[in-house]
Amino acid sequence: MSNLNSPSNGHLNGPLNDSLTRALNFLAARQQADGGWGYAAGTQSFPEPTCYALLALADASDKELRETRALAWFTKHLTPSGALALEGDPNGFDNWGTILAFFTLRRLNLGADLSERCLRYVLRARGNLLDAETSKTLKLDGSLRTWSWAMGTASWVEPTAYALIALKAHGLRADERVKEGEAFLFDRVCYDGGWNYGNKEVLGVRLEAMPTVTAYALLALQDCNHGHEVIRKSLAYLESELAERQSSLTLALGALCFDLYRRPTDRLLAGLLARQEEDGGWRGNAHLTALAALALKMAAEKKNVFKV
Amino acid sequence: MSDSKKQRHHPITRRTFLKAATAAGLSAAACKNSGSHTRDWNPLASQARVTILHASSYAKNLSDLLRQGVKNHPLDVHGKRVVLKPNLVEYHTAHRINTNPLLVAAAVDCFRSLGAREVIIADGPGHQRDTEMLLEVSGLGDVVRGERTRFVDLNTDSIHRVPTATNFTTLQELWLPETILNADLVVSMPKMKTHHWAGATLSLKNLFGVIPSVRYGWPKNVLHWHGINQSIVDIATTVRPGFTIIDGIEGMEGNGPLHGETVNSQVIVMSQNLTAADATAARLMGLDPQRITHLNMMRSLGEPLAEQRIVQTGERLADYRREFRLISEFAHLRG
Repeated sequence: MSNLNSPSNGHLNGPLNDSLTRALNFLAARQQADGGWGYAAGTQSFPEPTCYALLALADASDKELRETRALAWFTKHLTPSGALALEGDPNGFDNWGTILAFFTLRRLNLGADLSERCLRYVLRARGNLLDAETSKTLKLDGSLRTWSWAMGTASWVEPTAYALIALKAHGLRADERVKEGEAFLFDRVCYDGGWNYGNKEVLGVRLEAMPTVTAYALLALQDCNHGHEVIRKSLAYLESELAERQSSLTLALGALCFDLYRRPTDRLLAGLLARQEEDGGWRGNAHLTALAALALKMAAEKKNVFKV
Repeated sequence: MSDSKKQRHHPITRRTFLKAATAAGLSAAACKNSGSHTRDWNPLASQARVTILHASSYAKNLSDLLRQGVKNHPLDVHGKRVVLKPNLVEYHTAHRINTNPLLVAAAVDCFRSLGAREVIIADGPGHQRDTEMLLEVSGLGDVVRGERTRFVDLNTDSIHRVPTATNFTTLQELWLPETILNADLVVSMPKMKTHHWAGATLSLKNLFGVIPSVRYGWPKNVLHWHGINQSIVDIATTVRPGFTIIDGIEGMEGNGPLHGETVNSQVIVMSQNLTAADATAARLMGLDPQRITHLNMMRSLGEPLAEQRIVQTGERLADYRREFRLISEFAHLRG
């Protein structure tokens, strides 16, 4: 196997470096003719796998050609408004894809004009206002308008977490949108800690948290007081959940999250290595493989892509 | 002409129709009259055949049972690509939420034995992005491996724009996964449950899972803002699933679809007409199907809801009817 994508300054033991190299080679081979990445082999390119694959491959030796091709993909899908749109859907703004694109382009110092347009869109985009009755029914503050997955819908935890990470990484911690986003996450936290998609209670039933969403929300609140009850309970929830059951996604996100909260990550990384497949990927999925590679890079190079 | 003859002689297959609709997407959508509900929708039948099967548990030989049930319907799957769409929602230790994996395994075996070229399991969970976790915890992952088939996450599949066949929402078009568009037969496999927003979730509501979250979000909130009932109908008429197998061996009552209690209703409901199947399942749950908003919308399109328009085979409905407990918001659904 070619080792073109060996980590430049890896200093962990052999299995980790070997695993990372294989993961990066998997991702490099999966870039499509249009410059983007799809989730599964041969499927349409989407912003999420494209962004995380690019971030994972940031230090690879052949990055310039790859990034040039990826920039062409972003350029093709960016509308005049600054939002990414799906193939053939120039009016269908892709809110969460635009947030991820902004984060990625800024992290990699690519396409200054593109990322500036994305930033302006991200700062304009707001989820719908929830009426008083809905807010009361769901026991939440419907006046907080943060970020939705798609235009014309409500604000949700995961796209809000993406936006907070991206804006904070860009130095906008004090922006009022960021403050509102933090307030939103504190409002939507589940009663026993952790977050789900965004409803803590429906018709009197307390809903359970989800580990992946909790990891993203904690990444978004990494610069808040770690002793805050919400953060303590949510970390405890995530630790407990990961001790009970794991998946490739929870292991990768859990490791990236715990690293920023100074929690041990060895067990999670070992679990991740054990799930890597022969072809170097995780479940043949570029999104999962890119997040796994980012977790391995965090361990190998002491560089966490989500650190703000 | 009988129902079966009507279907056998339908000149356009589902896949051909959807391919054509995809290709014509933009212009068709642009020309639509949003005031009409029925632009491309033609009800399949004046009457529909529904089969009720008895199954006391998931331990029985369900594959044979399903084969017997399918024989009641003029369904030809020979050489076809069949996509099974179970209800794979979330995992909770305390609640049985999802279509039982053993029934899904039986359906894979059943359609293969009837000559299907390929049987795929596919869904796009509405809340959980972690499909790997959901497959493992639900037990469906074991089925995928055991049956040597594949699972497609419809949330992240390639997607194509299709004009909606009806206009109960103002969406006018839906993005649909390639796996669904390329299927010769889509089989909805819901669990028989009450639903805290829609009253009941059966084979029509189950189709929310074919809508790709990569475009509509987790949850698929675009559909909520356009009206859950309206969205159910526009999705069903556009996707045109050809068969349903409703898992009522264990149903859910009360605060479904996630937090209700298990009901051992011991039935499987099958039909080529999803509206008729859902109407029958609703009656089995002690509900009046005409009071379920999305079923009533289907009725307005000419779909069979009344008992006189349903040819029922298998077990007697009255022998299995029981009153599923309802939350107060849906007490008016009681039949």
